Amino acid sequence: MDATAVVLDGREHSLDPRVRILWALNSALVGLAAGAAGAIVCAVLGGPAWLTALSATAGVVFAAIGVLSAGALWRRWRWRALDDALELRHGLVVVRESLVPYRRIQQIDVERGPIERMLDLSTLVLRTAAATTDARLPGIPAEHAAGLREVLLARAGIDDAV
Amino acid sequence: MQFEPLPREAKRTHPATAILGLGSVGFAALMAVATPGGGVGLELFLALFGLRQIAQWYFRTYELRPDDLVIREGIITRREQIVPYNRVQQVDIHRGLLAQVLGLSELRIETAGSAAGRVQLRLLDQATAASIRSLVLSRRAPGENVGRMPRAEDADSPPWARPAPEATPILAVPAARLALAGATATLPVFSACAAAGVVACFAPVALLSSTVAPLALAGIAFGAVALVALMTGLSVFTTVLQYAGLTVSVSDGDLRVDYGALDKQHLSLPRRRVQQVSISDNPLRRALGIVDVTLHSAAAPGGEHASRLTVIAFPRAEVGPFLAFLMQDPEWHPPALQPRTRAAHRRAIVRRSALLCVPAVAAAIAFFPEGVLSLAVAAGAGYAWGTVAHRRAGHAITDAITVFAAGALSHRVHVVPRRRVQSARTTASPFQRRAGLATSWLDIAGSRAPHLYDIAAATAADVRTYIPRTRSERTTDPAPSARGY
Repeated sequence: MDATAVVLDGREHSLDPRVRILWALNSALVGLAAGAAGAIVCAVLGGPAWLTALSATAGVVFAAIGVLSAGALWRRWRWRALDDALELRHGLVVVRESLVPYRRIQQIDVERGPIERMLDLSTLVLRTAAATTDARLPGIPAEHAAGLREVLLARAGIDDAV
Repeated sequence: MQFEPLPREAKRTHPATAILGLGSVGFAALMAVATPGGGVGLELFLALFGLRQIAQWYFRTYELRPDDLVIREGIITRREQIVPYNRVQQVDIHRGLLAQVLGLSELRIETAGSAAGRVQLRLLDQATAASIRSLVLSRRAPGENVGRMPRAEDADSPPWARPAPEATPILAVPAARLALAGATATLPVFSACAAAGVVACFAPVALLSSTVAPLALAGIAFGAVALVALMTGLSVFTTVLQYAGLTVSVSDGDLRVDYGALDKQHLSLPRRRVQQVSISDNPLRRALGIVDVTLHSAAAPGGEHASRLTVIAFPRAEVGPFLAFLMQDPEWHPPALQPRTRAAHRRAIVRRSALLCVPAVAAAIAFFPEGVLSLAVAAGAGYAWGTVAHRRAGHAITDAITVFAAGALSHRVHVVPRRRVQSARTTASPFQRRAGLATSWLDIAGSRAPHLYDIAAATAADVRTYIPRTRSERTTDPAPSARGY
């Protein structure tokens, strides 16, 4: 897949399917760790047994919801690189759509967490002068991230954009 | 006001900046002399603290260069900060009580983005502060007023040596109108509502039971009136004191807002730096014809007046001409608002009724069966509240601006110039999706994203795909459904 072709075609893309593993692992780790931490604290401080059980169950349920929803989340994720703007659409319960014109881009970060490095994925974060802009593009194969970033940066604005 | 020729070399702020340090050292010395043989811990701490303050003042210099301001500071780790004048968003002068007595000013220069770009020159003498402000504001982006950009050959008559441009007052708010604004602020209105609620709850009990004398009811009513009067008086007093002499003036394209009695504020914001204007009122203020007008810049939020500048008690009739002035088009008039859909009306009623039904259900269970009436009251109140909110909400879109209006009790209108929109978003909850509605958000620099709930989903999609793009870009990817505007 050539990153330049991706940017200019204006077609809808979904994320790399491996991002499901990333999200599932992320929520599983967070949920189980939080549940275990709660249970251990409860046990050490001598809380009632039902509270320990509740804490552990809550962690497991959270992890399970995260793991089970990863696939649906991935199916809902769409992004599109138009001629002049990047369009995102994602969200399971609350559906979020956003449009970021390239000329407003101030900075593009490429983020790679430990699990992302394992899966060979990157997250592209487009930043504008507004702090509230929503333009995170997760699940970009690592080999395309740099190229995509270059192509987007080439279209970024040259004035102070404020 | 006197304008001084500004020095070209690095300068320190006024020595009074280190007044806290001097005081601290002096106090430590006094203590050491007054109590010989006592412990030295506190004295040592005070002395070191004071010396640090003095050293910080001594090692902090500012230098006014033709195109930028350079701040050098730090005792051990030196830091050099360069602020290009053409990136300045806002220049404010603040004069506290002590500064007024000593004839000094505090200058604050804001740039866009993080608070790291904020420069504070605490305590300069008044004339220097005014000169620096006029110097910084006289610099524009290259090409905007080339005639005033400093050049080497310009040294004979630098801008600050010329007569400062006259500030033309466009609005002065009299104390009486400030007092009205104070009386209709949140605190007195809220306490009046609370007092009315207490009296309303207690009145039937007092009137029905023969043992509780009407005297008790009179006492409660008197207490409620006294509380409301106290809160109103307090709010009026603080508002008038804080905003005394509120004037808005224009000087060479810069907006100036000056106010304050004990704490004087002189805020200036170049007209071309305005990111967003929001106009807010409540039902009482609406009846009195006054609104609050807030101008937002791209400066980092935080700090006392950073990133926004509010003119309270603004006459409603003047808002249109003021916006026309900001738009630099005397023919401009506010566009008519497009109402929201019927589905949005239903949702406005349902959301508010649901909120009011929570206490109503509790009351119904506690005082069954008479309490069931409270459910009807809640539903009726929710209907009225939702309908008022629906009537006052809407949006308007022109080529130059987007207007979002919403709110019944606290009504707010956001006017966002289209070229300030960085990006746009829509969000839709499951309830909104079922009703074919969405929330529309516009991301702008320096402040929270203005948004409008329950706009028709198709309109929200048009706003998102049409507003953040410029006209020329639109031709490359037309949004045909947006033509209807």
